[in-house]
Amino acid sequence: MDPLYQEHILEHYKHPHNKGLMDGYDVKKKGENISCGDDLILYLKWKNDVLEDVSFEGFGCAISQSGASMLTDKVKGMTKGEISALTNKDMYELYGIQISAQREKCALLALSTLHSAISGK
Amino acid sequence: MIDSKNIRKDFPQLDGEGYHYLDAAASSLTPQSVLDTEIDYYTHSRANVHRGLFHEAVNATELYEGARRKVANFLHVSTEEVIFTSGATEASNMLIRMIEESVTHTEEQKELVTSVMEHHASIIPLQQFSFRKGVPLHVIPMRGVGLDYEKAEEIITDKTALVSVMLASNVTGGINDVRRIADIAHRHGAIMVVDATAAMGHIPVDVESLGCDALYFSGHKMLAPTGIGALWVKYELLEKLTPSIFGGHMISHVDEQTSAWASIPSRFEAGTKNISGAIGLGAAIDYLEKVGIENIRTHVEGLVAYAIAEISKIDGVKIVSDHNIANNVGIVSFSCDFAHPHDIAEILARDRVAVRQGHHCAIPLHTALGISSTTRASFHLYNTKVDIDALVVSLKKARVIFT
Repeated sequence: MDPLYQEHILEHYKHPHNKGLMDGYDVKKKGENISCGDDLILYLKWKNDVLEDVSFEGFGCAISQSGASMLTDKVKGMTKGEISALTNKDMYELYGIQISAQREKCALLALSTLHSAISGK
Repeated sequence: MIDSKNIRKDFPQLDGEGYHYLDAAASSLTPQSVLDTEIDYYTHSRANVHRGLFHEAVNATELYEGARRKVANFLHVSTEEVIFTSGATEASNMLIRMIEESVTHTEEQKELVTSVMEHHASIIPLQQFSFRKGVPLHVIPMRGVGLDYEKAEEIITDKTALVSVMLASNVTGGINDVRRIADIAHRHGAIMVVDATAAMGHIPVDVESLGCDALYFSGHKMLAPTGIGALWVKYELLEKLTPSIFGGHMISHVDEQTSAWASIPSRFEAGTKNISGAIGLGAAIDYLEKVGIENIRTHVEGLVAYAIAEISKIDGVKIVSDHNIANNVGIVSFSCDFAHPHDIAEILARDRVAVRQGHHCAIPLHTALGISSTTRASFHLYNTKVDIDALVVSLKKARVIFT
């Protein structure tokens, strides 16, 4: 087994969850990791304070794309406050492995895009 | 012919089996002779140049100016036309800023022209010139992986003041017919600038046959240390340029309010330059000339042909480099339908195959080709077919993991 490309990461990469354009979204947010050409668009649908639905589109490396798949699974049904409180450490826990400094930006792309979608920054 | 086995002994980073450095286009390896030259300066001639009267200072100045002569001979130009810079980026920024500030362009002739395949270090200074002065920047498109020369004929007109094109692409490896562009530019009275960075050390670079007015490059892609490069400007143009970087050494007189510039080229080398780097660049030129650019070219052509043939056999891999090996400076870039370049490079790195992934500081080129990024294998005189075999084995491994 590869130390980085673990089975669950590759599974999310090859068969991503919550992938595709969403009809009737409330928020659309684009994220970019210019150093390696990762590209991500998040679609969010809110019901009051709760994230009712979330999806993503994009292309990029296995780390960024599997991260978007795993994170969208995790945050569905969470409140704005709960999502805002998510940290980089929470993201690394989804991967379940040590992420090298070179791949940090890939691993954190989905979370940082989600946070800026909420903060509006 | 190159004796690879012996050549490899000259490069200390290649000491040991199973290491495959295929990233010359990002930065080439440095031979021991270059390192020795730098250490020798630091050990025996450590002093500033052009100033002291003591033995080491005189020695350092001789070494530094000797390196300038080597660069001049290498490019077939006059010594005073060579300016040491920190690399191509500083050279490009300086040159474009100086032309913007010093060369008077008329209202009828003020437009800028470059190409879509340029490195960011060339294109961004031109964009800034364009923003500041409110002059149009026109871009020559590509046809296939080369320049569209017919479009260049249309884009370069009597309104064009400056044309800047790279000699070889750092992504496709393709060599541009710079002479053809230069002739068009000169027909319309425009200044012709050439970024020779990717070509240096791979093909002979003779400014006269290229027909350009200014040319620049980095040392670290031609076996020299990092942090050194050079800018060549034709004397008639150089005379017109006011320096854009100011400080010590570049003046002949300073009073409270005004200053007068030193002679050429000193006025363009403010402060203490990278002395050991310049001396190292001279040593790198000695090394390249000892091996022979033509021999390096033949060797690298063989590697490109082999790499294209072997990589093409892998399903799902698309090569975006110039397939015409006679027109390629040793770069094979590709995209894989089974994985992103970042993941490819990660798997290759595990097998100690060193390549570069990403946009290679040429986003407009990638956009024009309709891809976001590529994986790039680039070769130099120290590479062998064994390196390419290792690359192919690793690529096949990546294909299994991500499919």
